[in-house]
Amino acid sequence: MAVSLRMDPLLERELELAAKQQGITKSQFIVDAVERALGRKDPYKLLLEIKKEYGLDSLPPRRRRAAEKPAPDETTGDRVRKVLRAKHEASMRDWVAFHVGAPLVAAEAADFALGTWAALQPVTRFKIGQPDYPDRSATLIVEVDRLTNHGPALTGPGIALATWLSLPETAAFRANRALFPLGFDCLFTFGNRLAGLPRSTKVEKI
Amino acid sequence: MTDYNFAYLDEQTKRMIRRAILKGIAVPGYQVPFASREMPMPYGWGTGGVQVTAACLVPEDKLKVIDQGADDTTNAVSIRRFFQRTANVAVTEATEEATVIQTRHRIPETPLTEGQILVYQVPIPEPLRFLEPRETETRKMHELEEYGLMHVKLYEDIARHGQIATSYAYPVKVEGRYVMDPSPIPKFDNPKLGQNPAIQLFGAGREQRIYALPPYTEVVSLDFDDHPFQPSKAAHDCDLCGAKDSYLDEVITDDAGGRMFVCSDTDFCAGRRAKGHTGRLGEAA
Ligand SMILES: [Zn+2]
Repeated sequence: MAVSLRMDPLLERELELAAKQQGITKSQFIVDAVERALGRKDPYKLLLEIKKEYGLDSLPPRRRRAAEKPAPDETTGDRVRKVLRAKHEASMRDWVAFHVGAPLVAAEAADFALGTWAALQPVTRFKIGQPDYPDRSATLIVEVDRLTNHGPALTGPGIALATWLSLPETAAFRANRALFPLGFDCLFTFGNRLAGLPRSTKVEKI
Repeated sequence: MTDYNFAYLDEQTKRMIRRAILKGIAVPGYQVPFASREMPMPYGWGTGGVQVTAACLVPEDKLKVIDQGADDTTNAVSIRRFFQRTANVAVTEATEEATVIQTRHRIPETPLTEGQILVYQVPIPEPLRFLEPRETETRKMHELEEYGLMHVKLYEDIARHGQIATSYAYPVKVEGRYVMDPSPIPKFDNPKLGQNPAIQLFGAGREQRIYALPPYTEVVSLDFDDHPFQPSKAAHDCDLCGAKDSYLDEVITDDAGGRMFVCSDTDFCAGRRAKGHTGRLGEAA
């Protein structure tokens, strides 16, 4: 059955890109996406089914190089998930390149870095600007799982007297403040909420 | 007119300007270089301020534009119309109603509030330019906090005139770090720069610089212990509204040397008259 559908141009371009990347046609991609959305497809289940069909589990394991040997406690599910994660990261890369037009680079060269506080560690590797160009520093966009006005005390430009923010720690921000006018700047995001913490803010544990 | 992108500039350019603004806010008083775009108006018309305003505007904004305090000069009217056409934003002359105020040479008398953005048009962003024409040198001076030359200049003023003669673009020090040119506002306005609840953004188009004062930032006018900074003011009250504490323009009224002093901030003066205040020559509105 043929279904025609209307799509906004940006979404269509994105579809084109994604389909091309997987080497399938746009309609194959849509059918695949619909099947997934309807719960018809679960990659890991599919793999188990194929294995069963071909009796792969009963075959003797092929010899691998040491580096490829899975950790003893790693299940096939873990391995599949790892492969999928790598694939997601690759598509994330393409997504950023397509929508933001920015290349993905190493932490030391980044103008922007996006991740959880743990994932961004060590934050000392990010650009802090140059003494004559302090603006050439990184902006860290930190995804947090809560954002409230409870936590370390903040003072400095932009803050009338003092305020408080649920920061993941204080030491890193105190060290960053000590570099002023150099330093990185942070934006904390939680759902549709956002808090800025520029390098100029003094952070104190309370 | 719908052939323009919202607020004239393309989204990529606005993003680039916003990034410069955010870095400016992170390092108050430091001049951030940015790639200034050609605007459909000459440089003297505040292309830097216009680009900063364009990058800040959202459709819900209410824009006020003033030139030397007045909403009705050619420059202010042109810029206001430009944004009405390209961004279709609401405009106002009332300081307290505006969410974004673009200004040339004045800070409104009515105290600004949190959430407001004041955008300054800046002709020469570098406060050390008159002392040292080389960009590489002034950049080094800012890096090393080497501001002795600026103090020497102010001190020469005192030696020559018995007081600091600089009355416009009076240099300030921001958060004890960067010396900044507040644009050619009268030094009367300098005390409003510091601890202001509004965000203050400065845009220099020709010189391709953006700098900023976040709300509640410490801003100190440079001075000496024995010659403290004094915001000067004409020894008059406004002849129309009777205000004693506003910045006044001297207006020649006739060939016989008649003159009057009126608030340079036209919205402030009209607002006072609307409330029934009158000056020497004024009638209640
Ligand atoms: Zn008046």
